[in-house]
Amino acid sequence: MTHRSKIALFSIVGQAAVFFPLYRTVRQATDAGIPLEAQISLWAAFFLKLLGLSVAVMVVGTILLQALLQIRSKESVFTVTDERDRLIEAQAVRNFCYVFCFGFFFGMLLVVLGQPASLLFHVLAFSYLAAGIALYLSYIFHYERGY
Amino acid sequence: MSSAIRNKIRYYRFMNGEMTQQELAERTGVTRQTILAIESDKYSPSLELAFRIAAVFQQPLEEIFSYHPEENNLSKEK
Repeated sequence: MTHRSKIALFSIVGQAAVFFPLYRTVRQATDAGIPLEAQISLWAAFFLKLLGLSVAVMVVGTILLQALLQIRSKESVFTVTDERDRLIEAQAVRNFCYVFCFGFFFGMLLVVLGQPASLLFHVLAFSYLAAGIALYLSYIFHYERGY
Repeated sequence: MSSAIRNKIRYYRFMNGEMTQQELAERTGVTRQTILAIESDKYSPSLELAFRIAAVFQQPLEEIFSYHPEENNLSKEK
């Protein structure tokens, strides 16, 4: 497994580790039957915290993992980003957008079909998680199988 | 997922003092993983990178790389 695949694998675990505790907290608060305006505020805070914490975990985790891999393999990690890396990144980001857009429009469809508005936020939260996983799985797939 | 482009990079690395993949990667400005992917026909390089690789071995482009679309079609049919 390449170094980039290992880091992508770590990113999936990191993303899930950040997502589920935050989601559980907001779920408990919204299940308590608070008004919709307060729920929207909680969900907004959830998405901002999710973004901030995900970035922080990814940056710190990637630096630590790179250092560990460099020590273990005695080979420099990520000295350059070349044309193949950029192609794989473009493919992975495209998959991220597909999955997130699907979740977004699916959420809108549920609201149109008469489901409660709060369900939209649950769908958006899980589509963000699924899109992130699709992003990193795309990296692993292309780095392991070729592009 | 193999490409229709075949190459003789491994042969020319051997003929050039058993040049390592890392050395070739450094001389062409890409990662060792990209050289490995090209050598194993998992990735078709851009025209610019193909020229840079050929220049390292001081060979014309067509000596290093060759195009075999029929092999790719056969592998898809299988």
